[in-house]
Amino acid sequence: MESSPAFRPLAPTNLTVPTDPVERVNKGSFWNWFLFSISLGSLLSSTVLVWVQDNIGWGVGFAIPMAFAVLGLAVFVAGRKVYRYKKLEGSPLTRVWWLRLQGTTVRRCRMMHQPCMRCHHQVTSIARLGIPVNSGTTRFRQRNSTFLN
Amino acid sequence: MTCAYDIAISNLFPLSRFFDKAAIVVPSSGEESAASRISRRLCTVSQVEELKMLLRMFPVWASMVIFYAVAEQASSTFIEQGMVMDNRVGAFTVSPASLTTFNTITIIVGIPIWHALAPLAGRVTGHDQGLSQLQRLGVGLALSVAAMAYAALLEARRLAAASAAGGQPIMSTMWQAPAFAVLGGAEVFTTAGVLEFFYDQSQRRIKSLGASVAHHTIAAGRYLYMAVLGAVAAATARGCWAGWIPEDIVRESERD
Repeated sequence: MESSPAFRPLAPTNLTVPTDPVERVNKGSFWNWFLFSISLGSLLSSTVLVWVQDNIGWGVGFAIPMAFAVLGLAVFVAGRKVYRYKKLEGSPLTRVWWLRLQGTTVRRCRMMHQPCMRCHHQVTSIARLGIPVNSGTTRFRQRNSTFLN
Repeated sequence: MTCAYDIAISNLFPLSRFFDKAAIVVPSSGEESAASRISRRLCTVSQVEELKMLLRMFPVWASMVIFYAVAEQASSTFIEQGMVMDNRVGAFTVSPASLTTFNTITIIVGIPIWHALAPLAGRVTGHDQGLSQLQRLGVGLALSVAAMAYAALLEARRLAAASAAGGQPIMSTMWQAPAFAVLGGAEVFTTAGVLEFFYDQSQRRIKSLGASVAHHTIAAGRYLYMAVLGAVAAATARGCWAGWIPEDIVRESERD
């Protein structure tokens, strides 16, 4: 009845088209109903289940949540054709820590910050100083592996 | 020539220059080829911007940590208060911990009510969800303030009544129910709101990290609550006087 934290990012990933008006409403209310179902599970487990454990037995008291967990898994697996799948790209935490590490170890270089809305403009302005920049996908990386002058 | 992830470079964030260094290739005299150097040691500009976006959410994280430090009282100090109140309700004896069901029931009842009222609120604020994400968190924080104010007044009344009655619990436990209920109402706005905020505002590739940060506010809030409780108890104890949070709270507490 309670979803584990591992499931939590999966569900709203399947509602990630923010421009579609129907999906936007669904996405906004998703977390409401998520909290609702978690609270309902918590209420039932602290009232009904406690009564069952006190009056019927611990065996039944454990069997009921087990049955619901199996039911939840079955529903989850049954919907696998409907889900959106994301390509796995490694852990975001390793990227965050690499970033911090690199920030402290790279010597200071002069960078020209020019506010603009597309990152390749920034890359070009930095590259004009003769500083090569790693700026994105493989496709982009190949184009910028040489200095642009 | 476009990036696969089109994120605007930002230099408004104070540590921008520090993090941007991670995306600069430094010419070195090493023997590795340029390609292997780029792939192993550097971060892309997109990754730098992801981190900046995550760090920009820090103020919201901090305020939610405070909220959960306050909300944690529903599981601890409120119950201690309930233990020294009269727990007979009609023919039943209500155990103090059972009052947390008021918290849960308010959430269960409040969510459908909010779901129905959100379009009406949307006509006032102009948002399609009723309130913007930050407005929603603000409403939750305001409700938690109201709940704590009520709890403080209740404690003052309880102390006065208990002193007058010579230490016997006089006030009924059900006086605590509104405090639990208002905290439950606050959680309708904040818990769903904080999960939505951190998930929604995270960049595509770090959404799972964003959702974890949302849960982290709950954990950090509880640690903060424990730290505050310990600090208050230690700071206010003088000599043989137990301070603001003593063991016997019937007559001696100044928890309000």
